[in-house]
Amino acid sequence: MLPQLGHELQVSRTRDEDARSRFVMNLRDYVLNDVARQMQDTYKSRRDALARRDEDVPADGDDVHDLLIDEPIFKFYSAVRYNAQEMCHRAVIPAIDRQREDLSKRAAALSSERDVGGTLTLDPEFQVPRYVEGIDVHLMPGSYVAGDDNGDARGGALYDNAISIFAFGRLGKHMDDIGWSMSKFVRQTFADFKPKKILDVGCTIGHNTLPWAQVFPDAEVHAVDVAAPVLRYAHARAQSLGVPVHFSQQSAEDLKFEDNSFDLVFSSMFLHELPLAAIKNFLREARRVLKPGGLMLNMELPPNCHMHPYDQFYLDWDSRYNNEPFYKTFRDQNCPELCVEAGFPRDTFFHAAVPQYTIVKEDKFKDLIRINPNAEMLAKTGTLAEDCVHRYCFGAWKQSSGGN
Amino acid sequence: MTKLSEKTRGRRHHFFDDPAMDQLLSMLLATLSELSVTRERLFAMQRLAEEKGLFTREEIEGFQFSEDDENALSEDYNRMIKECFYPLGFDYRPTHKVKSADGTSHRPETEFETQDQSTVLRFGGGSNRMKAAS
Repeated sequence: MLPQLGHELQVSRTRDEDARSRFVMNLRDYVLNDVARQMQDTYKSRRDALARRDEDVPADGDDVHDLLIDEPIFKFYSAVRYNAQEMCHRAVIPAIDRQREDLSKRAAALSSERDVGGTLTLDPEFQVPRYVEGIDVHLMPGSYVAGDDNGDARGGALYDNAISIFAFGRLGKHMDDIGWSMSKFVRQTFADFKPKKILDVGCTIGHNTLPWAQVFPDAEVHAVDVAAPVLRYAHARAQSLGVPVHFSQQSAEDLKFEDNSFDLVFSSMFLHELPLAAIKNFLREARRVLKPGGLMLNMELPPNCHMHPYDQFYLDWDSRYNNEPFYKTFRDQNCPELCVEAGFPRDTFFHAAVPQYTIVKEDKFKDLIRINPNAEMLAKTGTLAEDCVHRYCFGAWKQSSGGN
Repeated sequence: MTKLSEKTRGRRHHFFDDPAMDQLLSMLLATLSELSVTRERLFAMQRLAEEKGLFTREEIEGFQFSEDDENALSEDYNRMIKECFYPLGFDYRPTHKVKSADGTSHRPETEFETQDQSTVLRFGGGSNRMKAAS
């Protein structure tokens, strides 16, 4: 079933465009299941052969990559997957471009005419970091700033439409499963914690922001990103869905909020798109803007230190080949040390494996959460398990009293 | 309003030793995508025909080709297969530069044989001049 976006910024597609989208979804399904399985079987045979000859077996993802790089199945897996990624975007760009004037008008009308309570603040002098505007991240032509030279929201439309194909409809009705899963995780795990002011950093189109406002309806929710097109789209989208969020154009490395102003700072699938220095700056900023006793929570891909060598290689593929140059550097980090370096007390660090809320639903969700899970559970995060993907997140609490 | 780019900036990865293989694979996948478009339209047409009572799936399945139909179909498949395999049997010459033992490189010779096979014209081999073989 082709996923629908579920809001008023949906672009209409021709039958042929629907067919191309459907084809790409099926192609991705084929390469990520059938071909990936063959590649893993090939790896196991090669590894077992090494073990039988008493030779060293791969110790990490780099070793696995070296072992597989000349195998035909690796070449086909990589080439088909790379093409499928490009085709995700190529499948949706014609529809977006065909309706670009109308999309612009709709976004502007939603932003200015609908009384929902959210706001949009853009900074015309803002300098988008080179590590965002200079890279077509995950092979998205133009990146998050696509279309910005005309002051429109097409970068947001491109992201929204492409991930709806990319995710096989397994990210929830509004592509917001991560937001639901993480906000419900906080609500159910830290029952006494009632955040009144929440910040989502690197919010893109706000798809994982809105659930926070819905799970914590008494909270004031803010969201920041560096790219104007995705923010315009995010605000219009939130207006369409009737959820008040205050979107603003800011850098995670230099937030304009006052010290001690938020109860919770959240990010999702964000850190792996930053250079290491920027990650460290952000974590320091997160701590600065948190109130004493506040929570920083980051949902991300699992770090390599918890993964078996083959899964390290499998997830690092994106860093090598999917225009995600900072991915592996982040995944090679030690998350507790990153938090300590940012000033969080070591004993407040935690990480967790969180199931997909929109798939397992309310009655099973709480029982499947694993906070500070064992090594076996950690090794399975980030990849599809029997029921759903169990996502990795890590966090820390700002000390309750004392100075900054 | 300028159009979005459909092409990612920067160099494209190739996974096979010869990037032409990667390009061929991309072309194959684009062709499969186009085929999906055709199949989807046919599917929709079939469903519409059923709803409007024009003809059914079973009638398509059970349609009996005449001998003339069979011959026409075979001819079309023959044409299509020949079209797809057209380079089979072509003689390929290397166009890359060849390195000599002394480290210099030159283009390999290209030969053209005249129809009566009395003359072989050689072209290349470090020279841009065409010269008749002795």
